[in-house]
Amino acid sequence: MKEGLRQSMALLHTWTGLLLGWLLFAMFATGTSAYFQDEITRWMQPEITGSADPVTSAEGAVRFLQRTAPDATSWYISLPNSRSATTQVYWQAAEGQKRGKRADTSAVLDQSGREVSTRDTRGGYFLYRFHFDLHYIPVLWARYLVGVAAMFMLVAILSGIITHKKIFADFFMLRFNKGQRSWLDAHNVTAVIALPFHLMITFTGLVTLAIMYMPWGIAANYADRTAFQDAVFGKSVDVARSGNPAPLVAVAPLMRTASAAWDGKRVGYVKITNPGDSTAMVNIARASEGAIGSRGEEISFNGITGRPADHSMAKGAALATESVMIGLHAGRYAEYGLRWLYFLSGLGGTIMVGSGLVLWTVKRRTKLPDPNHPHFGFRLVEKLNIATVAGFPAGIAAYFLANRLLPLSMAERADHEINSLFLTWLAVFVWAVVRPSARAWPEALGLAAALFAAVPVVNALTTSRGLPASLLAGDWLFVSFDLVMLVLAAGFAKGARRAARKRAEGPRAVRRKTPEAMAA
Amino acid sequence: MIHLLAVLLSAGAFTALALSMKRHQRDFAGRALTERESRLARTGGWSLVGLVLAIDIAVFGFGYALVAWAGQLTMGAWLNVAWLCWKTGASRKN
Amino acid sequence: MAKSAANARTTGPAGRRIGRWNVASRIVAAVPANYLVTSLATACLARLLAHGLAVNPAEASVTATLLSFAIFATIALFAFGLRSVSRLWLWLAVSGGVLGAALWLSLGMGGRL
Repeated sequence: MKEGLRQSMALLHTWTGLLLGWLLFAMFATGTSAYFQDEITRWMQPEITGSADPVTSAEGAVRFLQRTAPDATSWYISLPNSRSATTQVYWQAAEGQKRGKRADTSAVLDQSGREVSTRDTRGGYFLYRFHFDLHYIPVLWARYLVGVAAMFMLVAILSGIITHKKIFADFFMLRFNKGQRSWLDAHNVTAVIALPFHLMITFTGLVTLAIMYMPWGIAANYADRTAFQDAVFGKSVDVARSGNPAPLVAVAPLMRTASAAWDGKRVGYVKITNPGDSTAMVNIARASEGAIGSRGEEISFNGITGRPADHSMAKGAALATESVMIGLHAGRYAEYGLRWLYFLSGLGGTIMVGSGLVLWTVKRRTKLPDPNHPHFGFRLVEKLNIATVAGFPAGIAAYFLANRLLPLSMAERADHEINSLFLTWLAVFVWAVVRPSARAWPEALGLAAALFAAVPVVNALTTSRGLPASLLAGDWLFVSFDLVMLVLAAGFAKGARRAARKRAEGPRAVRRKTPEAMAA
Repeated sequence: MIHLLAVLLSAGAFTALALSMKRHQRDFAGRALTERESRLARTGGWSLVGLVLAIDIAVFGFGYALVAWAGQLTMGAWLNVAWLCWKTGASRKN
Repeated sequence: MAKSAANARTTGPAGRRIGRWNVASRIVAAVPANYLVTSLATACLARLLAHGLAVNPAEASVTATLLSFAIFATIALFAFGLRSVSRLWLWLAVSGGVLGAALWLSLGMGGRL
């Protein structure tokens, strides 16, 4: 009975892991990079230097918006945090006006409210959005797909734990290079050591979009979604403009009041509705870096008098838990030390998914009737593995390279940066299909290594902020970025060398079955 | 900096815990330990795990400390794995 | 016998002994049927907390929603862990029926905001 359960859990682990593994790999890779999305954005906008003060930035943004969109329905000012230097503003066109493109109702500003002139890029924000919105497909579908993948991941983790209980008991047996089982080792070590992280990140990931995936808990108590949102976040009454102009209250004192109410934590964003009208409102929200809980506190003020208006509902245990879970997932609260721990754990998770995918083929190859001519399913998995494990990271490297190499005046430049990611990915897939897999592996991994290694070089050649210069200037953000690229390049180069050696040794090496390989 | 210290302490904690188990003593210490040494290693290991948590709580406050602690223990475990790999690799070459 | 069955399982879909219909019905149980039962359980729990135990309805709904993923994952594991497929479906049908009836009765009493 017990053995039967283990077998069926092993089966479940194998197939849930495989079916959406490629998508999970891309999600893990981009999600991991998103812990440094502000830093990536700064690297991708090398023209911007220095830091910005949120209060001064807010005043600058209000001046800009008063000039640019005085009669907008609302202004949204996303202030710089301790890791970024620019202010992002969006506005909603006045009633009756045509809704323009995103670029027509948004701007990136510096501290004094001037529009920054930097290369057109979506920076780290694109990688962050890809993590759950994907690209080229409707966002709604993408989020359902991502949710299914996350649920598969959760089931794969749990069934993996049940199957491999023994590995946990033999915790200290974990290591690499035990004989020919390097893929199995990589999978086990990365999975077991960071297991709390994997469980946390998968479960909280589902929670971030919980209301979309499981709306029935709310539907049971509320006839419609807005009733729930009003109860939790306070009624969002859209007051129409009265038509009586009135000067907007100064935002700086309101921000200081709000900050003081939150023990000095920074303000994250300011939203102003009906600016310039007697019905104006100012909403101020705490910066997400201020606490673990992601649903930050918010205070509303009357936009003329500056007197505080109503608050949202005080959070009970469940809402607080939800807020903390989402906060834990996004890690916006983490200062640099913990942020690196998040990043390294995410990197481990990416390796776990990748090695798990490769393991599927490694284990099956020995059992093929004719290892030289595998059946279609096997070949498909193998090709997709090459395309994903080597090709997707290569695509990310290409995204960074495109940021430096595409002409600055190019139309739709930001889109072309993104296209270069997917074109590289596609190219590796095509390469994997046309080449024999044993050759395509080292070649694709080598390409990824070369592209990552090229990033610091191209950066040094095209900007004045290359590795030597940033080292001298003590510009640790640029130094770290370039160093991470070099470490990734070294990792892929090592992988490429191993894959090449394995090919030279021939299939004999993989043929030595081990009890562990049989069991899983 | 506090993270670095905590990661090193966690690594020490895991090494001590491994030392307290008979089957791993040869890997880590090169010989079998006496009953008393094993017990000492076990107590020392768990105390270090607790110490790291205590430091985190003192520095970061409770909630943040729990997250940081989990991350530091993970990295400490990684260091142990890395050290073992390096050691096995080195002994194989000899 | 046990050994050979185990081997057949490890060979995956190529293994004949595993039974295609067995696997197919477990997949149906683990995904769509599971989602249905989990949704009913989530809705029932939200109702129970809000109306039976007088928890704030927003809190009740969020508690149930947070737990729903754990419920779904557990049922998915059972769908492949239980030895007998008929017992699996019996469990799903009974719990689905009971939860569905409870929800229907509860909603019939009104109280939705």
